[in-house]
Amino acid sequence: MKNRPFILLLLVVLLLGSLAPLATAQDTQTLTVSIWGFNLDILDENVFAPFEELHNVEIVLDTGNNSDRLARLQAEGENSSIDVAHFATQFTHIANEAGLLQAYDPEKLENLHEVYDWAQDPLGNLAGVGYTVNSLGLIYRSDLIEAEVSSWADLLRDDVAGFATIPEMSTTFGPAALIMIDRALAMQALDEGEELDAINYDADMAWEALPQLADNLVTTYIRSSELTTLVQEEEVRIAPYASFAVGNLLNTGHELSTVVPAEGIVGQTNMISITSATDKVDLAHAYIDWFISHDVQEAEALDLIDSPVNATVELPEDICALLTCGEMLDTMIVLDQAEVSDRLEDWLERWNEVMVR
Amino acid sequence: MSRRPNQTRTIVLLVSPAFIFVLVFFVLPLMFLLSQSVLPADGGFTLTGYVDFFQSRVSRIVYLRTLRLGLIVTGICVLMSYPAAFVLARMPARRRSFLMSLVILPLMTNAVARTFAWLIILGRRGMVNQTLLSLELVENPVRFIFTETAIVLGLTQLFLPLMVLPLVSAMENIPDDVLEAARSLGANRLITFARIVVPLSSDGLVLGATLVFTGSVTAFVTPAILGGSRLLLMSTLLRQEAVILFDQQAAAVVAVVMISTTLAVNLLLRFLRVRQV
Amino acid sequence: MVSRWMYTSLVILYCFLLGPFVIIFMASFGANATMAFPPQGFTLDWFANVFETSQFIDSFWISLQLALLSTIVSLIMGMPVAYALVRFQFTGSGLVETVFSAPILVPGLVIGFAMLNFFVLLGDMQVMTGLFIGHTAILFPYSVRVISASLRNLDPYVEDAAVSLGARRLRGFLLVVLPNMQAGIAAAFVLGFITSFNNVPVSLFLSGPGVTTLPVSMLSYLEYYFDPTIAALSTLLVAFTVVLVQSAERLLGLSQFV
Repeated sequence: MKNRPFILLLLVVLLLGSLAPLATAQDTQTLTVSIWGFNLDILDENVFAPFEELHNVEIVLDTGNNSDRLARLQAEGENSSIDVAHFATQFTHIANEAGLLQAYDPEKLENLHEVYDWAQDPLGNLAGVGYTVNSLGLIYRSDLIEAEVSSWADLLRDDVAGFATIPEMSTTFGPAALIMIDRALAMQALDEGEELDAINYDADMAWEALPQLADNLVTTYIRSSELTTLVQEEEVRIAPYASFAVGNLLNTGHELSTVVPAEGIVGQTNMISITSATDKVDLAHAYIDWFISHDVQEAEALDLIDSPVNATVELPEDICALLTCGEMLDTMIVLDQAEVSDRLEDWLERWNEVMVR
Repeated sequence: MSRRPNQTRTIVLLVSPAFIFVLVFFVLPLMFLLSQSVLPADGGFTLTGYVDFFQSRVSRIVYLRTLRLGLIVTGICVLMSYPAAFVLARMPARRRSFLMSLVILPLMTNAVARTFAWLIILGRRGMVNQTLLSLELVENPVRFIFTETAIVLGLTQLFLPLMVLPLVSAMENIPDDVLEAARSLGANRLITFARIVVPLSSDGLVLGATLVFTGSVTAFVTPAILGGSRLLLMSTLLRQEAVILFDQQAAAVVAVVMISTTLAVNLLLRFLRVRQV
Repeated sequence: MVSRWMYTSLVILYCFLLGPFVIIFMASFGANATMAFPPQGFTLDWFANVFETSQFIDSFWISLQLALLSTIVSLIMGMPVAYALVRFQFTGSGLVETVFSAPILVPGLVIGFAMLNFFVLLGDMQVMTGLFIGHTAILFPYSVRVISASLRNLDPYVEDAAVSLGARRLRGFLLVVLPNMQAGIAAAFVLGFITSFNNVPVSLFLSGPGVTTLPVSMLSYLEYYFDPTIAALSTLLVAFTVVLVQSAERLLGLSQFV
C-alpha cells in the first residue's frame, strides 16, 4: 500500500477543486461584455468594478481579439450570451452587416452630447458609439536607420530591406496601412504643385508594389505584442504601429522615434455596440453611457489605456503626447469603413496570394 | 471463462454509457463537419470546397509544407532517439525509470510555456545567436523566429518523447544473449546494431514514427507562436479560415483533409507493423 | 555494446528535451521588462505579477475544475468499457476499441472546431458544459487504455475465485478487482488530469464568455504582452508538473502507460 500518500494527495486536490465553484456561485444579474484581453485589471478598477457597484450587476467578460470574438458572436447568433461588444470600427461594421447588432437609442445616453461629433455615431447608422480613438503612425529605430523617415513609402526603401513589418490584412489596421502606402506612392507620382485629396480605396499602386514590399518584410504581425517582440529582438527597425501599443514599444529600451508621415496618420475609433441577442437593453445603454462619461474617460486616459472621445476631458500635455489627442485629432484621416469592408474579402485572398510562400 | 446467458446484457450495460457519449458528442460532430464540407449553406451537394482547396496555390503550399516539416521532424526524432534509446534500454531499472520520467516531461507541460522558451533561445539576442557570434561563425545575428527552422525545433522537442518511449520498450525486449552471441560471432558494434537491434526494434520505430508524424502535422500552438502569421501550417490555416475569414465550408475542408491525412498515415504504418509481426 | 558516442547522444537528447525549461526558469527571474537572454538582474516581480493578474487566477480555477471533472467522469465511464474489453470476448469489441481510441487519432483542433459547430447547432449550451463534454471525450482513449493495461496485469482467477465463492460479479469487482487496480486508476487519473489541464486546441474553440482555460488565457496574454510574466507562470506550472510526474512515476510507473 505504498500508494496511500499519493491517493491522499489526490483526494485533497479533489476537495479543493470541488469547493471552488461554491465561492463563485451567485445570482445577481449579469452583463456579458465582449472585449480585448488587454489591460483588464486597470479596466476593472476604472470601469467594471464601479459599474457593478452602481447597478448591482456582475460583469462577465468574453475576451479575445476582434476576429476571434466576432467569429464566436457570428457562430452563436441569437443564442449568444453577449450583451455588449467592443470592436474596432471595421469589425463593428461587419457585425452590423451580419445583423448581430441592434441600433442604440441616443435618447438613452445622457453623456452622448459631450462626445466629439465624429465619435457619436462613427458608422452613421447607430450601430455603436465610439468610446476611444487610436491612430496608426510610423515608428522606427533612429539609431539604426540613418536617412530620415517621413513617408509611408519609406517602408519600401532599400536600406530597411529585411527589417520592416506591416500589420496583417485581417487586422484592424491592415487595410489602413496599405491604403496609406498607396497614398504615399500616389503623392510621389504627382507633379510639382499638384495636390491629392481623395483617398483611393482601391489602393492599386500599393497592390502593385506589394510583392516588392513583401521582400522587405521580416514577417507580418497580427498582434501588437508581436510587433513589440520583433522590435525588442531587433528583428524590426521600421513599422506602422497602433498608438495604444506605444507604451510597450518604448519599454523595449531601444532608441525609437515615432513619426507623423507626410501623408498623415490614420485614426480609428473603437466602438461599443449592443448585440441583437441581448434582452438587457437598458443595462447595455447604461454601460455605454458609463464608458463615455467624463470620469471614466479621464481615468482611462490618465492610465494611458484609452484616448478620450469625451470633449470635456482635459489632459496634461505629457499624457496627451502619448495618446491620440489634441492637434492630432484635427489632422488624422478617418477611413470610410463601408468602402474598406466591401473590398476586404477580395483583399484577404489577394493578400495571401502574395504573402504566403 | 464461462459464458453466462446474461453476459451480452452485462457487456451492453458496461459499454453503452461511454459508447453513447462518444457517439453523440464525438462521432456525430465529426459527421456534421464532414457534411459541412460538401453541403453549402444554400443547399445541394458540392465538392467545390475540395476543388478550391487543391487548386488554390496558398493551400497547396501550406499542405505540402505541413507534410514536409512532419517528415523532417520525424527524421530528426529517429536519428536523435535511436542510439539514446538503446543506452536507456540497457540501463539498470532504477536509473532508467528516473531518466524516463524526465523524457516524458515535455509531454506533460503546457505547450504555451514550452514554446515560449524557444522564442527566448532563438531570438536575435538569444542563446543560439550569442554562441554563433562569439564563435565568429556569423557576422550578424541570424533570424530564426518565424522560420521553418524554429517550427522544426519546437516540434522536435515536443514529440521526441513519443519516439523515445516506444523505442525503449521495444529494445528492452531484446535479450542480452542475442547481442552477445552476435558479438562473439565476430560482428562489430555497427553491424550488430544494424543487423540485430534495428530489425528487432522496428515495431517501436514504426509506432514512434506514426505518433511523431501525426503529432507534427496537427500541432497548433508551436506553429502559431513560432511561425508567425505568414508561415502557415494546416492547423493555423484551419484557424484562419474559421475565425478570420469566416468561411466555415473552407475550414471544414481543411479539417477533413487533416483527418484524412493522419488516418491514412496511421493505417499505412499499422499495415506495415502487422506485416512485420 | 553501449559505446561512448551513444552516451553522447543520450546527453544531447536530454539537453534538447530539458534545456528550454532551464531557459524559462532563468528568464522568469530577469529584471528586464521585455525578454532578453541572458537576463540581467534578479527580481521576483514577475511571480508577483502572475498572482495579481486576475485572468490567470480565474482561468486556473476553471482549468482545475474542468480537469478534475472531466477526468473523473471519463474514468467512471471508461472503467466499465476497459473491464468489458479485457474480461469478455464479444463480437464488436474491435469496433468498440476503435471508437474509443478515435479521439486520439483526430487532431485536437479539428475536434474543437467540429464540436463548436455542433454545439451551435444544438442551441443554447453553457460554455462550461461544452468544455466539459469536449475534454471528457478526448480523455476516453487514455482512461480506457491505461485501465485496460492495468486490468490485464491482474490475474482473472482471483476474481473468478471470488465469484465462484458466491460473490456477485459487481461485489467481486468492487472488493477484489478495484483495490488491486489502485495504481492503474491513479496513473490514468494523473495522465487524464494533465492532458485536460494542458489542452489548447479543443479549449481554444470551446472557451467563451467568462470561461477560459489557463493555457488559452496564456496564449491570449501573449497576444498583448511580451514580458517574463509568462515565463514565471510557466516556471510555476513546470514545477507543479515535475512534482506530479515524478511522484506518479516513482509510485506508479507512469511512463509505461504514456
